[in-house]
Amino acid sequence: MTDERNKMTQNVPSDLSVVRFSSVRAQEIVALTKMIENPQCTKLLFQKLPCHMRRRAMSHNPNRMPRTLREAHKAQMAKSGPATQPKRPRRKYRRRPSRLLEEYKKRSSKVSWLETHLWHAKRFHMVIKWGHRLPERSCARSHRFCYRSVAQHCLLMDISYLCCVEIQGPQDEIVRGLISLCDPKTGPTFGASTFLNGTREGRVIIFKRNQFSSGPIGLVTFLWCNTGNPDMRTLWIWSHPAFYQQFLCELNSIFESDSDLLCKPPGVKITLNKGKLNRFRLRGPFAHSVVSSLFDKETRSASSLSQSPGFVTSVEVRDPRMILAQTRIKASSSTVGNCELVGLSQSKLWDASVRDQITNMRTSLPDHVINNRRSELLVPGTELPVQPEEIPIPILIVNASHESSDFVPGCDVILPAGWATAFWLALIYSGGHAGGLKDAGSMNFEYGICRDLCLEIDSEAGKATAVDRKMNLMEEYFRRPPKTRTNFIKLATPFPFCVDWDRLTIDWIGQSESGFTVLRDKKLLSGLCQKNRIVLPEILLSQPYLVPVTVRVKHGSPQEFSMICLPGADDKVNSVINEPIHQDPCAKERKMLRQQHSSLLKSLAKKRKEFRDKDGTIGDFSSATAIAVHKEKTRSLWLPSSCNLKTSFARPIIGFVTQGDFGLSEGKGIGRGYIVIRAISQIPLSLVLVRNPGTNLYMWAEITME
Amino acid sequence: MSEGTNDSATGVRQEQVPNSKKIRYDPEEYKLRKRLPARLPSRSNDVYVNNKTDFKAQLARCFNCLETESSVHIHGLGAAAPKAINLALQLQLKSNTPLEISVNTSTVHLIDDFEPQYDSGDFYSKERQNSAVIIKVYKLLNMDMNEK
Repeated sequence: MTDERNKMTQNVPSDLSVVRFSSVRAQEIVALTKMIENPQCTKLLFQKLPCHMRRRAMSHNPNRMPRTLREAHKAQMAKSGPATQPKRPRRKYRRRPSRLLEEYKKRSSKVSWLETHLWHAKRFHMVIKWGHRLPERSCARSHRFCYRSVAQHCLLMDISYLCCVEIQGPQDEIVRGLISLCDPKTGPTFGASTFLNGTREGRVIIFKRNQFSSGPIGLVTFLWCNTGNPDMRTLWIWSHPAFYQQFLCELNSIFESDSDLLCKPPGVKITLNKGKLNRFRLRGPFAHSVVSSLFDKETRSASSLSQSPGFVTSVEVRDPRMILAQTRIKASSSTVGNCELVGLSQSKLWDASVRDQITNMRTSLPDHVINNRRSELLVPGTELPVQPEEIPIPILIVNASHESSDFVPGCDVILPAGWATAFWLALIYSGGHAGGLKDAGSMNFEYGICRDLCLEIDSEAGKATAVDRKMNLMEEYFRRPPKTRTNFIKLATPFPFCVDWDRLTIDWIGQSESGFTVLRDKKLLSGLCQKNRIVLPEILLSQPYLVPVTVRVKHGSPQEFSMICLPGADDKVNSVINEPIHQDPCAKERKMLRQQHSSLLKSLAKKRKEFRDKDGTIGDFSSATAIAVHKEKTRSLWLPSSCNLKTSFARPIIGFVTQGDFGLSEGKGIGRGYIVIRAISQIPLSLVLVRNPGTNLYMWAEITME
Repeated sequence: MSEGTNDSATGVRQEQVPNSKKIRYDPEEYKLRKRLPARLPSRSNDVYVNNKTDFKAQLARCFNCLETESSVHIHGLGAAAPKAINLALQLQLKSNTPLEISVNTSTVHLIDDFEPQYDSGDFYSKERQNSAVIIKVYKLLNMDMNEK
């Protein structure tokens, strides 16, 4: 040790040059400072952390790094590409009821849900229509089951998508304004005395202001409030969402305003009650007994509901969640009284503030609280006694009105917003069978009821629906390969996807200024229905009117777009008549077009290849436009060209069927359709011929006008 | 025009007319709508007869009931009463086992609604009566008293 010390002391110089020493030291300092200030490191941040601070999760979770280093670490991580997507939560987690509500809020910007949506979505095929997501048909129940529900039990539908408009003001002002919208020849209007006192609900077809000859807007139902002095009355009008905007425009132009809360100085106020009321429809013989299960025992035994058509009853019921049955029970008939519960006092449902208060009460007493209380009861499944927070809920029960010759008893229940699910479950548990849009259509077809849920063929909404349907059917048709497509040109079907009523009226009557309309004048219609046919004046016959008819076939059934034709003078009843196969002049053209198109595609592909080998791009030899043009041309060659409906076929066509199927209520094939009024006098013995689209057999059928 | 008393309990006008002068309604002003009769509970051996369904089908249905049950109750209202009677008699003729018939007649209250066709009219209902027949057709149960 002393040796080393001696060695070290031996080499130490005795004197040093200050300048040289400091310059070398300065260089050292500069080099060190440079190195500190410009770190050149090949290691990542997390590799330079001391061992005891490193964590496994910091490779994907930057929050595990010390705060000061977090940003730098994130920047380094971002350099290696975007982060992996967070794992999607598992299906069970996604479907929890609380999350479903969030889902709704996200999705509801485009389509709105009914309040009972979640119940329906689990059991029905849903469809998007008119800005709503609506149940179309049941997943489990078949068409026949739903028909039987209407015929023998009780069918239940949520029709809260109907839009309600409230008009308040002096009675005379309102009636005067609205009278320009309805044609008094089609039946009672808004000002009819029988509806003015608010005991019945009425239905009326509305037109564009003072234009009764062009098509209608649609069928609406209306209800006056049964109290109020003539200076301040309230009217509710329920319209279908398909023509709601059009209806609002007409109301605006009548009552002259331009904002959501419309106000006219004399005091007619229009409010849009869009989300504030719910409406359920029950149809069937047991409808009234299902509804009376909502009442408490005293009301049920004391007075039973009458079936007087259109009659309105206002009742106050308990919260249905308190008295919900434990299991579903089958509906049974109860004695239906003839006495009409006279509800002279105004239902609280008309009062907007009370309605809002009741809606808020729904959220203040949630389901799980009530379920807890029910589970604490001594006897499980009994009704909960009246709770301190409960207030009675006002509802309106509107009986079904006579719409056609078949009367199907039933009622509509109108409730405040927020309570739909509670009442829906109560009605289902009491024996109602749920139905969707398809069942509404089937009720319209079988019995002619629920017309306010269906659109008129001569209204704008009806025409738009027909165009949509045409597009869908055409897409389906052209999706099939050419060999399996029905050749409508050869099989002489002029309108396989959509009926052109204008063409029909032009062929029979000639050009006219207004398009076709359906005859709705009650006097004329009843005149046509009578056995001894009255002779119609020539002025009437030259108008482009269509008359609604029903055709009944003995064997087989008519379909949508079936043709109704006049039998010839010599045709024997029930003889077999066939339409001869027509020539298809377009077949050659189609074949030629196909060959031309395939050669064009090949040449374009060749040119693209040459160009690509030279240039590297495809240039402008893309075949997209050629394909589009060819598609259009071929499609037009497959569809039958327009022809004279009176002369082009073996028997002249007088009308078409709009709904045709096997009618379960009658047990034979039925078609509901329209014919031109001019042809009525030429029908011998109420017998016509019906030919289905894509077939050439004429079936003999009986025709009746409703 | 005779007086019609308004029965305030039922809200239904009951007309008391002399036979010579019956009040007709103006078909232009009103449309007559018949309401369905009250729906009675039907057990499996109740058969309601109507004029629209084929006779053979209804006969077959009665035979079906008789196979499982010991009796069939055939109900017929108004114009379907003769058809119901015919059905019961045919049943007795064509069946293999001897059948006994017991007939009861009754009156059913029906309501007609008058629907106004124009603004001026008002809804009202009239009650009327119709005759109904219930025919009970039952198998004879042979009780052999001498069996030991």
